[in-house]
Amino acid sequence: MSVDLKSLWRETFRARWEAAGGHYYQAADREALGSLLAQAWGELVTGQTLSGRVVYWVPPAVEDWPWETWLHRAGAQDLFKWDATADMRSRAAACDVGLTGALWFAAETGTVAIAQGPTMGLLPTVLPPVHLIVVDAASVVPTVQEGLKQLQAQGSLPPMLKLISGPSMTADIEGTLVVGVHGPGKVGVIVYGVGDGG
Amino acid sequence: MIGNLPSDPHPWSERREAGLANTTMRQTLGLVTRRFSVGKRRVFAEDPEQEAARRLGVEAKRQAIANLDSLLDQFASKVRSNGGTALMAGTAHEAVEAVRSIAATHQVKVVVKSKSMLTEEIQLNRGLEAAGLTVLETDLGEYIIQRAHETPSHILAPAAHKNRQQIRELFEDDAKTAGLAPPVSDAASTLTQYARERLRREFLQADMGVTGGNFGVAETGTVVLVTNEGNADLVTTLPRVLVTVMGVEKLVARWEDLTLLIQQPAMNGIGQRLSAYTTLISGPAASVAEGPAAWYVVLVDNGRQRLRHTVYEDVLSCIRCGACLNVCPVFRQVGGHAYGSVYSGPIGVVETPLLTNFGVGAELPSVACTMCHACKEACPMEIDLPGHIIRLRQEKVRRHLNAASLTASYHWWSRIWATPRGYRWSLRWARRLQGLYQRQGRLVRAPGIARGWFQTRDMPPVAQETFIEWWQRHRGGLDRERRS
Repeated sequence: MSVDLKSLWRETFRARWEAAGGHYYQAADREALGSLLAQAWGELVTGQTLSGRVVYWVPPAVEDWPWETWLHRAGAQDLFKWDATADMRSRAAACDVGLTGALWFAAETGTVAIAQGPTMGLLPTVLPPVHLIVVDAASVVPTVQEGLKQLQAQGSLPPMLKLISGPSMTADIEGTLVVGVHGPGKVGVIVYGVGDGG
Repeated sequence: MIGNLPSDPHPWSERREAGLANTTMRQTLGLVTRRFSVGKRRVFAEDPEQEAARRLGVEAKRQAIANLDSLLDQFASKVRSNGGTALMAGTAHEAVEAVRSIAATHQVKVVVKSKSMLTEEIQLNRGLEAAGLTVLETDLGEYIIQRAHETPSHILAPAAHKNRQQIRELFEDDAKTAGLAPPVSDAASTLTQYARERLRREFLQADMGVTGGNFGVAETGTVVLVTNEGNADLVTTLPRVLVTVMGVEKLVARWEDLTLLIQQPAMNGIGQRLSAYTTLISGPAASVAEGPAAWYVVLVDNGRQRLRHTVYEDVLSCIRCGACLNVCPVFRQVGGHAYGSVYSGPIGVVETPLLTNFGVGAELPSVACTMCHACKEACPMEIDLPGHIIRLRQEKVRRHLNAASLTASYHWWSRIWATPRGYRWSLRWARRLQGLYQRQGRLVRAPGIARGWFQTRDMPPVAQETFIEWWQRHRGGLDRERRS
């Protein structure tokens, strides 16, 4: 796949994701991630009456990166790494920020796909009022159709797959648009590895 | 098997007048249906390839209905091999009993629900509450109308008939019973924030979650849910038991079919490319620290399979997007409650009498359609809604479901106007009698079946001499001139 096509898809994703009310950041390399996280924190978390508790998991491929250091530097107080043996329910409910990885992201609809797994919980995507998603630049696909086809081709489906295309929202009261109903009102995507030819 | 749907005991005339008198509802519906329709045009214009996906999606839905028997078996066995339980319910009553017994087996006390028209159709909440369970709707609009003990007025905007002041009052009462601080203002964001906090407690305490299903994939045993609020995500992830209640017609054969259809509800219904939160469930939690330990799928027939192999079969392709409601001039004026049952708009006019074999909503095809055909243009699944409405009208005549006086009037009217001679004869009589019904040179009233038509309209009187009469008088003269 040519690099140009993927960066084109990322541009479309960015436009559609932002139009739906999402925030977008992209890091050229690993070093830039720390400051991008801080920027995202400043824009999505600071200013709200939040205590800075974070529940998180990241994609296995980047697990050894210094996420905790970056998050503390950005302003996080307490960090809870996803742990399938602990009571993640009450922990995620008490957190203000959920940080998760993602399988892929799709340009046309501005959608991020997140699969459930033993090391990847979905509660951090819905319980906290802010959701940050870190995703590999190379995992961009043109459409949801394409992403779903790839998923099936890989064999077994996750027990639960979530497609997120913007913040939680409603227009149920007099047709007025309000964000942040049951899920997060602020969602941010941080794309890493843009400079790696992804 | 004939289906059973809830039925409003008030006659159409009262329901219609109540809808027309509700200015809040008409304003809100006017606003949201227009926004939805404009959005739909925009997304299809920007992504023309979606039109091809839609067409293939229609084919997939038609195929699925044709092969429904084998798809139901395949889906059920796939759900079982994924670790879930699939149950079949022939009637609304059986479906409610199935959910009640699941709740009893798992000693459930509190149930949280995400929006599902099917559970409205089978009146699940009433059935569960009668068994002593607490049931909470979690979609904001549904939560509002549950507090008011009312039913949805739009598939996608259930509380469109309530204004902010009314909602604030409902929430103030609710806050007292829940021991919470009431909302501090009637701003939409404040009211939404109140519902978020109020329901968050319930989410964390609930034993069982109940959802509908937008699509079921036979090949993989997957159920797909679409919401914008993210409430289905909590309903499917927090309680220890999950029950999906889904119409049998929601099945498609292959994963690939799903990829064609997954965007269609949001694109056509609300003009979004995909709902903010789309959830694909393929099994209960096996080795993860969250999600339900037990998953049940209740597949409900309630009059649906009876429609297979009939001229009305395409109705089963409906994806409940709401596009036909948004463009319907009748719906936009009277709102959802006027339809007297669960489904409103053109699809309600067709589906309510069909599912119940005219037991509910038999009046709808005659009264709730102007034959403008806007719904046919809007329906992404190409359901022949106006054609069905005409067929249902014919069916009503065959089955003698109309008032005898009405049938007799139309019978004579059609006989008289079937020939030019009869038509001219009727004009001569109208000319003789219309003096009684005129005001300022306009015809403003009429007797018999025409009376209702004049309630909101007038028309010019029949001319003293029609063009045809004038022509017959003069043509002779012209002919003579030519000959000479």
